[in-house]
Amino acid sequence: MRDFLNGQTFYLKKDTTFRSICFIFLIGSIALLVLTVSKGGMDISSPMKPLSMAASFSLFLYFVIPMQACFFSTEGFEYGSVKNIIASGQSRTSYFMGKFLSEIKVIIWCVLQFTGLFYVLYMIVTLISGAHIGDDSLREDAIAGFTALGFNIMYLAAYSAIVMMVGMLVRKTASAIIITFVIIFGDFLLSGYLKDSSSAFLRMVSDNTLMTQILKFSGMYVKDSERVLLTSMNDYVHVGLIPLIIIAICLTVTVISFEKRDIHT
Amino acid sequence: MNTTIFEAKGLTKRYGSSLALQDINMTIDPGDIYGFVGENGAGKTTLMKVIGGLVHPTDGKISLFGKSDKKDLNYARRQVGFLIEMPALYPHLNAEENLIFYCRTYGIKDDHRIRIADVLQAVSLSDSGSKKTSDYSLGMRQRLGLAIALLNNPKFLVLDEPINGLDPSGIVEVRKILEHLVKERGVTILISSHILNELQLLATKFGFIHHGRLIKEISAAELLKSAETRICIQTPNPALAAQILKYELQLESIVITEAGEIQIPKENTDLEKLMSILLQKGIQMEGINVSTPNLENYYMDLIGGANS
Repeated sequence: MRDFLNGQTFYLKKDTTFRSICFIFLIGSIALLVLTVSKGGMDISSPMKPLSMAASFSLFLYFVIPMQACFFSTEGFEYGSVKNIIASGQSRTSYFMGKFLSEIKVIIWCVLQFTGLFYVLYMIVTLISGAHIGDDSLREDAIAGFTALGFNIMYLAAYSAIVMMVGMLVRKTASAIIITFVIIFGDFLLSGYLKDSSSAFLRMVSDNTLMTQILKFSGMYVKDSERVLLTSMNDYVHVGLIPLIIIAICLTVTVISFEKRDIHT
Repeated sequence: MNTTIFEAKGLTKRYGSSLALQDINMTIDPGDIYGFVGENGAGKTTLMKVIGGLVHPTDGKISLFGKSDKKDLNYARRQVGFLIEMPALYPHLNAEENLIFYCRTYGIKDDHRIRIADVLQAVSLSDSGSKKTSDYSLGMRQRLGLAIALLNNPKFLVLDEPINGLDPSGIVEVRKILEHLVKERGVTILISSHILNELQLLATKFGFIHHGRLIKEISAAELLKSAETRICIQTPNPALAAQILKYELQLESIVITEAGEIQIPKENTDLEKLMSILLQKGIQMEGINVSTPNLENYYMDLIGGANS
């Protein structure tokens, strides 16, 4: 497994899709900084404030990383490398788990790159401009920022688990990408459109979508004209459990299916 | 101890209602170069995929280096080099980067640069190591696929049509590489190819597969003994020529092939007399040659028999 992970790291470093998304996040964090600065002043209530601000901008990670996860899960079938790797004695379970763990590494790298860069640039601009940096809400901002960071990693992992399951089942990049689009936007639509439905069941579906949880922990979820935040322990457990359940189901389904099916590339 | 390299017992693979492999029983011993012969869709690639663990057999079992449990088989596969169907290459990487990827994935502990230089030299791609594989010709891709198969210093090589797309000099080169591997490193090889003349030059044992069934196994020495030398005559009127020869030489076993060639067993046939008869009777001859026993004829006879 360690050798396989080593090989995947090498592949990712050379992968144009991965390099492209790193570049997109670089541009993204600079663009968001410019947008934030142009909208209001640079004064911040605590040195941790830019971290919680970055969390609220992290939504666009969900439109980029699942695409990369999709390409990454099907590349072995696309180029045929899965054939050589399995024939070299790597078990199918460790092949898929290795892929998933590599994707987690990608997610952590991307989230840290995006958030870290935004934070560093924001602080530099604040210091240069001589804007006020308070220390009123240091603890609250740090908790909000780091919680969002952790949840973002978990939810991106859950999205990736779904998308990689699709990729491993479909095995064709073009088809898998279309399904990935449907999943991402479908989840987004379910979260938004069903939230005010008259049906209790549809509202329940909306309440439990991944996007609803993401908007909640990012502090962007509004229902009945009121912002809904995570307050109680139950809220945190609920938001934390959903991605874990999704990851567990997707990994199990993928491993079982991959173990059983023949490989023809 | 001389453990069998590969063994299949009652191996069957079914895809829906069609049988890709039917009750295959075969062994490959150390040092063998096993030539696998069969038409497209006969089951050659399926068998190779079963060896590689890519395809699950419906019935029967295989063993590699004497190991047949799932876990042991996976471990045994580390000593096998595969080139199945098209070589698995990343087009955006150059040859060296492709090889580094596989070196890391296979957990090769030696210095990667030395190993990569070795295998690139072995397949005559040393000068093209830094070229992107998207710019490679089909032949170069095949050779790089072979280099990947050689990366882990395999004791057993499974090669599915490795000389596909190679030019004549490339074919000779690959043959030399494989001969060298057998001689110097004692590598055992299972190889399939449609270029039967080439396969005959290389293999020490042949297996003929037809409609998923292994219909015959024969050693190279047995092949030479079993097949008879024939006189082959090309003429515009083979039926008339055959009739004359039958009458004049009292020959019973004259065959006219589908291509219109007359074939006569060389044994007990006087070639000079045969030619003079045909000339006397005014039969125009476009060509005459003596065919030595070869794999192609043997295979065609065998398949003809199997079909009938």
